[in-house]
Amino acid sequence: MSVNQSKYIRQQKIYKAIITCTRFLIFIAILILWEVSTQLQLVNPFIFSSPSRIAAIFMKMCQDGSILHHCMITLGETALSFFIIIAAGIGIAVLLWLWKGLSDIIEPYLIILNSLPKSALAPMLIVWLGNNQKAIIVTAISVAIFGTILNIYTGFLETNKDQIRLIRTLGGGSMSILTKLVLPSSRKIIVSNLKVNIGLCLVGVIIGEFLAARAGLGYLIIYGSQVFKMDLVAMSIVILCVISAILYKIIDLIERRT
Amino acid sequence: MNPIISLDHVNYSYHTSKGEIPALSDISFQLQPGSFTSIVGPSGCGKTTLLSLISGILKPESGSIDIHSSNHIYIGYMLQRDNLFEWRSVYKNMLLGLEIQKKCDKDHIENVNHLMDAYGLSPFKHVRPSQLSGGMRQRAALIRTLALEPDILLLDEPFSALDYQTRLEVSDDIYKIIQDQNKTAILVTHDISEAISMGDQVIVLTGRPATIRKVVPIKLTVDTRTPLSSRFAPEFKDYFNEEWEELE
Ligand SMILES: Nc1ncnc2c1ncn2[C@@H]1O[C@H](COP(=O)(O)OP(=O)(O)OP(=O)(O)O)[C@@H](O)[C@H]1O
Ligand SMILES: [Mg+2]
Repeated sequence: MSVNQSKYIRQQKIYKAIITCTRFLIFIAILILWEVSTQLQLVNPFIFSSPSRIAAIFMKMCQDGSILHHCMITLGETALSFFIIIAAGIGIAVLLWLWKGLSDIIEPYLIILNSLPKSALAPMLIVWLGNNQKAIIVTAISVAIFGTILNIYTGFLETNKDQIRLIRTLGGGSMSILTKLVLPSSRKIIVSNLKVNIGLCLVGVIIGEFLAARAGLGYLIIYGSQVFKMDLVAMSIVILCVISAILYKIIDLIERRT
Repeated sequence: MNPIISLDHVNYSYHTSKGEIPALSDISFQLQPGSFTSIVGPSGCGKTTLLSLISGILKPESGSIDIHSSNHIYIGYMLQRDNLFEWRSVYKNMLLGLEIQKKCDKDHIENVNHLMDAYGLSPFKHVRPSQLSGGMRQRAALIRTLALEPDILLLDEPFSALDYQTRLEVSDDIYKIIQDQNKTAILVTHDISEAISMGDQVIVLTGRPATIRKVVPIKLTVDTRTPLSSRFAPEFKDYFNEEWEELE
């Protein structure tokens, strides 16, 4: 390696280290500021909670196992709705692609449903389906499904026309075009769609839990705010942050592999 | 000899919401089995449309295209662009047609392996198409077409994206295969010298909507005819001038 090259590499390493340290320091600073200002009663710890109070309630709920229970419920609902959205989204997009008339007919409906603020449907779904997990999962699905169908279908339509011609010259019909060309060439779009959806599913599940749950992180947040246990609310939000970061990272790894 | 394929007063127009675009008008000609026909015409005149009709992916609006054979005939069609799929390896690309027609049996695969060796593509079997040079991409696309063992081969300006040197090499390769296997071929090009160097006859088309302006049989005095040796034949220049004037 030349002198200049190793100099360049060293500079890059230093830059990265500075970025990482600064991020970490900001995190520590916020924690300290938060903790100190509540200790000194500059802000009311009863309303704003504090890192030490969050840690304490977290430890307590770990010991009785209740936090794991609530996390697993929220995660389970998120995973289930996520897989249903992917399967239904791809399935319906394929149907629309195979049957142009159908897609021309229902496109305006899809666009309207997709532009609707998703949480607006939730109360109605819960009245229809009852105060249960089914309603929560359907709420989560309703948040993401329309966008997923539209996105994937639009991706399908961008399939290269000349490549479609190629399949036809090789004697293939719609099914060959679909399986050999449209689906593989849309893989990137589908995977990047997963990334958006995992976040939306979590949003949908939390909305559903606000309205209909007896367990889960959304339930903890709404319950905590009603009984003024702000430590519980703050802790649930912190856990949600961690969960969504982990889920995002998992999809990110999948995306890199494809 | 009886023709293998005949076109009889074929017409074709594209229809769009903006209007009708007539592409072909009253095209009639016949091909003898084993013959090599070049088609030249100004750009946009309807050459690709003509090949699409012959291959069967478009249907004529009027007139007819008949294939004369007692058994089933597969028409191989090499498009203007190679359209290799980047998500498949080079080898998987060459097998695409076999997969689609569910012909991945031992004989067909062996044929592909043989062609791959003959064209020097074996070392690149597992790489992605983007890592191939233009000439190699074109050869891979050709093998993809030949894998289905076509009786008639349609070539749509297969060399237009290549530099001059590679162009001569690849056209020699393709010409040799077609002669060895005694296939019937149609080559579309806007390059007059390429048309003469490979064809037994050259069909000159007019501008859009294309009609046949002239059919020129090519007879060259060379020992063994290859696209390269044809270019040194004494008659080559005369044919060139004749067709140049037709296209003017
Ligand atoms: N799908 C289509 N819809 C409408 N018009 C079309 C379509 N395909 C081709 N055309 C028009 O028909 C005419 C003939 O097209 P074609 O591709 O057959 O010409 P070409 O001789 O192969 O051209 P080039 O030299 O560019 O390859 C062109 O003017 C083109 O604009
Ligand atoms: Mg063309």
